[in-house]
Amino acid sequence: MLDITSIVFIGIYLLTLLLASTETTSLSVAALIGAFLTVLFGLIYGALTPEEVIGFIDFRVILLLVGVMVTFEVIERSGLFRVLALYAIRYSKGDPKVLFFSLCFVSAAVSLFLSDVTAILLIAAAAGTIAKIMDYDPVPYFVSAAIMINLGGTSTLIGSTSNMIIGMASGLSFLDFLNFLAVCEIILWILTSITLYLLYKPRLGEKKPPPVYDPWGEIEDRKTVYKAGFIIALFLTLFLLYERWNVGPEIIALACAVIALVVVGVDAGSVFRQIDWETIFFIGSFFIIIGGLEKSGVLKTVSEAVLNVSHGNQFIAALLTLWSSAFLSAFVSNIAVALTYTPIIGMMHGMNSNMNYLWSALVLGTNLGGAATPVSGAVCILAIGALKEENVNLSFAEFSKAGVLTTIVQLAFATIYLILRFGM
Amino acid sequence: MGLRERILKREKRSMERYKEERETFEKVMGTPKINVSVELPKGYEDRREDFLDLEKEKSFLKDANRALGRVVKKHLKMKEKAEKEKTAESKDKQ
Repeated sequence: MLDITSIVFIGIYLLTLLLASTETTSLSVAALIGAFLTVLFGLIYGALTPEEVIGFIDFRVILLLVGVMVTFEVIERSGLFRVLALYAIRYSKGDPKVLFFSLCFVSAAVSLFLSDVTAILLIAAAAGTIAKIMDYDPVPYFVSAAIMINLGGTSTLIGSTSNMIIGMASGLSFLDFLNFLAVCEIILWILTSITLYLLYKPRLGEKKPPPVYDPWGEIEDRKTVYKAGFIIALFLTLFLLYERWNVGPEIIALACAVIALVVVGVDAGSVFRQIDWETIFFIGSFFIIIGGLEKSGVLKTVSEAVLNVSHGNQFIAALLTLWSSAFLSAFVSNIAVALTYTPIIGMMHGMNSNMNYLWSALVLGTNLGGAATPVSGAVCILAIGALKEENVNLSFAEFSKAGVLTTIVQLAFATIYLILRFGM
Repeated sequence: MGLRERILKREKRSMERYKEERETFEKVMGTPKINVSVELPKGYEDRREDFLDLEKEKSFLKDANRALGRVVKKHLKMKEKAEKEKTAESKDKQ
């Protein structure tokens, strides 16, 4: 039986999700309201202490996020990813099939590093320009870019905000992520792009003479692009090696941010202004809401319920985690889903020593559910918004057709992968 | 206002960034463009609002594009002519 404190904290949690998912307020404001109510109730009724509230926030996640954001904001400004997109388009030589696949793979590759929002604005702009020049229907390219960007980075610690949260909570390193999920992600890239190609094949258009251009055309300073390439190489090397030095990934991310600012020499003030404070405030506040639920024992009850339902069976527990987290991520922010599931899975740690299959299921679920419908993630809504700028009105239903189809294909494969990879 | 409209309205700032990116790609791959600003003509100060609305009127943009196209052609031809004359002069001097 739940006590009054638990019921109030559950109410605050649901209210926050409702405010966020109905866009009544922005994500960060919804979470700030929830955090404020949690603190207010917790302190007044003695359920929480001020020290506990501060302790709920995992500042390592926030530092990792800031470090990654700063590093890749600097790199993005160099124009490196723009050059990459221009090469991908030129490589297609006017063949829409090649163009489609090259844009799909560049979208996923770019989102390994850039935030989903930055990546979709870049790729959609490239796709929108070439679609206009070649007189192609932009819808297949925009929708596919959004879905591939959501998928890109599933197997890396820094590939998405939800991965950073799961990585820090589980203790999985950058190498662990690659070890458990890289093969899965590569196959998912191929499967998803083929599914999208089959769906959009009749709408891709015919082969036409392509525009002749130099991908370096708008780059004023090539040295900056080379420096950005060096920073990426350094970033990846340090992330592959940090475990040996007994430091956390947040320290490496911050170090890379400083090196990027110094080496590339951009205006630090303007870089800091571009940091996604909305996400940072959302995470910080949501940590407090989840902390309240954890302290009141609600999450322990859920954790025990999951174990009861699965009867300790790895396969059922992984399946439950994968599909339920994907389903929830389709409707509410996958950051909120990751923040909710991590303490629940963390509590199961005491009951089973090897939880890598559950962490992997959660990583896959929170990532794959993020592009099922237009409200699943910012990347989807921005693709629709960018299409509107191209005078194309894409309905929610039309986007969802591609989103739901690819999500089901991805989850079906992820299920098979988890069984094979972890020998369940 | 529906959910779709509410979300799209909130993403307005991102769309500004999209337009900037789009212009950059257009410069590399597409037809180059230049922006020309037009001031309110003297004697029309009382039509300020109507003047500002012209920026969104398709018929005005079409007329302006056509008229400016003629001016651009004229100036490009003048430049071409001047360059040719300059080349001829330098050849004569040699």
